[in-house]
Amino acid sequence: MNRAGPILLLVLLLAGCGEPAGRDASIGAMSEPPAGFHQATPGTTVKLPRDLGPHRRYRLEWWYLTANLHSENDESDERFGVQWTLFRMGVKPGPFETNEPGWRREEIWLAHAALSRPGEHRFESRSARGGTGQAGVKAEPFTAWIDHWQLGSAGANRWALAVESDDFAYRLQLEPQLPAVLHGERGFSAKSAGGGGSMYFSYPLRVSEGEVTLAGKKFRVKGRGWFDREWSSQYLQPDQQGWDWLALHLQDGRHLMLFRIRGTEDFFAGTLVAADGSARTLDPNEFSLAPLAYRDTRYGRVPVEWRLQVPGAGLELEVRSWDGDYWNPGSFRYWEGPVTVGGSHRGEGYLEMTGY
Amino acid sequence: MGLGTVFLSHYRRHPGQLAGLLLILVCAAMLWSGVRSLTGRAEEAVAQSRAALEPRLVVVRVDGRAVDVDDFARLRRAGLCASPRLQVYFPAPEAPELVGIDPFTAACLRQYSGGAPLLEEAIDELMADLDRPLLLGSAADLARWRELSLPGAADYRLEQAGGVPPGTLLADIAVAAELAPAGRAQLEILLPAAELETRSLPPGYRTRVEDYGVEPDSLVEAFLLNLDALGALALLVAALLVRSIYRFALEQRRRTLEILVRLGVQVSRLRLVLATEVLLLALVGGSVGVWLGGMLASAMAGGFRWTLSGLFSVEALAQRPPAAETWLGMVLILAIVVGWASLDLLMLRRNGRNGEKRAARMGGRRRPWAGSLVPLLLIAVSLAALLAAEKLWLIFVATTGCLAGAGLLLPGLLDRLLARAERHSRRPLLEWSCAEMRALCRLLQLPLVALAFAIAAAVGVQAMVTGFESTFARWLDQRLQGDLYLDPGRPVDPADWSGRLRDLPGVNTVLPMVRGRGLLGARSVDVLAVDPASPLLRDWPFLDAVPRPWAALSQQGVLVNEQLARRQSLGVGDEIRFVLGAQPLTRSVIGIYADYGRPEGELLLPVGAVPDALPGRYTTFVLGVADADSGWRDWPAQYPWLAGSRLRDQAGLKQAANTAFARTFQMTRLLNGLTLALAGTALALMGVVIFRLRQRSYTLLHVYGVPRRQLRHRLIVHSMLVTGLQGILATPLGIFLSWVLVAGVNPAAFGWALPLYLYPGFWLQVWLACLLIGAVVGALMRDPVRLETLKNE
Repeated sequence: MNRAGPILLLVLLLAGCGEPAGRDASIGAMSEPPAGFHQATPGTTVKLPRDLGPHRRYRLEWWYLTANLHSENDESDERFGVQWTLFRMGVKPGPFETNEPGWRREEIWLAHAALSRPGEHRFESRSARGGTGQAGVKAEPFTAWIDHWQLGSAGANRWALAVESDDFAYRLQLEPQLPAVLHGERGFSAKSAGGGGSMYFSYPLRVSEGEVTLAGKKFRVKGRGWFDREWSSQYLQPDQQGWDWLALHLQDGRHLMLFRIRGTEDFFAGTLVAADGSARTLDPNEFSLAPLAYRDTRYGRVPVEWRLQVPGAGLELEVRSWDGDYWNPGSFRYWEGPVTVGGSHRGEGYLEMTGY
Repeated sequence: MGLGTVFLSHYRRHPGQLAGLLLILVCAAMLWSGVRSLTGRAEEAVAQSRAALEPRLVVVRVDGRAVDVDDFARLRRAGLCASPRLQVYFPAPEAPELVGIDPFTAACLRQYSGGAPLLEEAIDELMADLDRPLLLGSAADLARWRELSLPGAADYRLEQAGGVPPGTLLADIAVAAELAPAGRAQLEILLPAAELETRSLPPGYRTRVEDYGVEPDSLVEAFLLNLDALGALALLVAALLVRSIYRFALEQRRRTLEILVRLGVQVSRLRLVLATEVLLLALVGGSVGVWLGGMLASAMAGGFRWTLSGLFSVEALAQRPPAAETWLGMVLILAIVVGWASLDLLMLRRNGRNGEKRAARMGGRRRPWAGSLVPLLLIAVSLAALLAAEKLWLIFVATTGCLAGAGLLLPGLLDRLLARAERHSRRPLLEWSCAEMRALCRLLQLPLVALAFAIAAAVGVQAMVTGFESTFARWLDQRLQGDLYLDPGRPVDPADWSGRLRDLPGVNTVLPMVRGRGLLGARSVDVLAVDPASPLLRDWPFLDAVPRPWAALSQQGVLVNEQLARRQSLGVGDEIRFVLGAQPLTRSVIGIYADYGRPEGELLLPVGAVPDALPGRYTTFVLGVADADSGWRDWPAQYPWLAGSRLRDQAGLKQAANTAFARTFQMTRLLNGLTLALAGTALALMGVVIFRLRQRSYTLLHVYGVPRRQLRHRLIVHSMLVTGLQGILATPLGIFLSWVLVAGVNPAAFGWALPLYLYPGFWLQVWLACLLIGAVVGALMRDPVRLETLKNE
């Protein structure tokens, strides 16, 4: 029992495009008890830049970037969605005996990179053992890398992301919008009514310039993005099946992060970021999020259109996924795809769905 | 009474026929499916290792220091698909080598991702069990690991896994690193050569070729074809036997069938029932045979696996029960065999009276030489093809043609011999005996041909195997001139070690032998470098060479082994161009040496001509010592620099080499023996039935006054004479087969030819076996006189 959690999750995340495991099995790993690892609890606080670095006492954490991009090429008006995520999974609870490089089996790193266009989704993953220097994260100056994929500081308040795969590549210049947005209770983001959750903060991003290469063709791009930093050991409760998560960028400069965790009773949480960067945690009573339409995909029916109402903020939005199928394949499959926002305000963003 | 019951009633009246048919079918199916199961699995293994082939590089540091984990990270961060391998050698004899790999990057190497499902499963398992250290390997290697009882080794779980090469245990690299202090570890960073086409190495690194990724030679296919041919021979023998049983039963059954037709049963319906009978027989024979074949295959798998890995470097032979396709295929093949055998019956009525006439003609006298023309023509064409053939399958087809021709001629030849004896015999009883034996030959024509084939195969294979063994033994004697053979267990500097070895007590000669790989054209070849002045090389046997080849080698030139000479059609005096590492060389061939034991081509050069950067460079040493029985066994314990190395004396090495070949040929012998047993048993069974048919003739003689006892003796003598003569007549066929094997099949399958030796002692054994079969057949008859056979006279 002690080991089932991380290893099961590891195998599921690593398992390429093989036979999909059952939904319960894949998401079940997120709800395993911490087993020797620390658990995020209310009262834990976020300290920066330290918390940009890894937390080896916790079992699972990620550095998660999504961006909606528009090509600047004169001849075309292409839209792109980009996702780059680095996961760290503890095999043993830290701290570790030594930080010297070596062949060890204490932690695993893996990364997912995806490039989306309307009707098109490309995905690649990489994995590495911890301890060799092949993959890792440094808080200062912030650098997160695996092999030659890297997200990291590139000067004052600037980050750079470089990803190159057989299929596609991108290099983006990013400007994180300070200060960091702490979700939930000063960074503790509850995932159920009965407690339990994760430490969670984000940076809205501006993509000041960049280049996307697809099928040998290069596109100069700009756009907006969202960076998540989250760590915990047990994210979900046993009765919870998965989540629907949205990060939206509105034309008026505001950003919204909302999620619904599906369980015996659905659990809602959200954060509204004003144009000036000030953030406000939304009480579940302050907004409503409900599916409007579903799409038949290769892994079943998923909600791809949502009605989102935040009356207190004057928002009456309709969020709609791009046409297509945005599954990141594998046994631990999840949907990670760009959305457009209509209704009272226009905008764009990303929709993530797990546990379907 | 249903039609089926009428059909069954034939076998109820002649249970021996049914038993014989089933026995033959089961044996044939067992041999064929057993061999096919092994060769099929081996073909898969070959395909897998071929899929896993790619030119592979080892990344080394320009500054000469050993690579470490930082170098690995640096290469990965440069975007190169590199993967580490930590090999740990333990200083105990026969200890398995521990190979630590990084499951997260192993897929970069086709070796671990190129379609070897067992190995891929093992790697997944290593990844899933990262927090519970695990060692994977074969049962034998795991057992040897347990015997090592290293400190702390009990914490590691051991699990059997397919696909791990013999002599090694597979583990996560971190596990190997934890165990490394107990042995000697070597870290390598491997890179597929194709990676450098798109990315370049970071400064400070260079690569050397670790594996050229050249396809395993067609030799392994030839070896498998060899075995398949033996399986096919068993099938051919079975087909002949089954047909003879049906032909024998033809007359008995034709009458039954005619009656059924007259009673109004439609011919098409009869054919349908007959076809059902054929299918049923094939089904029963095939099913039991495939089941037994599975057991035969697993009994032979050990030796077979060894041959493949030892001789052809093909690993990972999967163990599995016979598949449904094998079974279906076997049943179909047997259905065709039985269908062919029962063709005369199936064609009933279509040929009508003609069929009967033909049957009558078969029993009657033929025009003397008309029947010989076709077989003679077949032999001539096949022989011409055989002499021209270089492809192994063509050799087999041509040999089958020769065998078939000779097989067709043999009964006629025997008949003519007996006819001549009959004409010359003065005494009536002797004349009768000759006539009786001629009748036997006609009636037993097909089983006798089958026996002849089996005898020929036995004689041929025995000559090849025994010839090889004696040639190999002589060759080993000449080749192994040293007293001790030292494998340092790691790459070492030959000059430094030669000096140290010379200082060991009792050592008077040291011969370093440097091995590596080179390229001859596009072909990867082994390279062996020695000191030509060493007295230990003096007696090496050469097939062809300039005078004083060793002295010539120290000046210039290159020696090549027989395999390479054959494959590249090289002769003494030919110039060859080859590449050692980065160094191109042109030298002329000054000698060809026999090199039994493996199929690889090899170049032999003086040690000074071989660059330090020779790919795969590895040095072993041959030592001449004053007293081979002295305490050399303690050297590795006494001298720390010798720790981890392996010393063997000449006797041990010879024994190992001989055991290896005994295993290789064990299977061939086994298959052969089984085929012979099958043919013999079938002949014995049929002989009993045939003699029963001839009882009338013996009984008549008894009535005319010949004593019962004498007739009984005569019967036994008839039987022994027929089988004995058959054995003698089949022997030239066997000699022909052994010539095909040593001069045609062996060079194609192994790359070396053997001299043709004849073994009359073994022929005598075979003849005795034939006589014994005859005696058993005769003895089984007990009493040839049965008055009731004269009831209708």
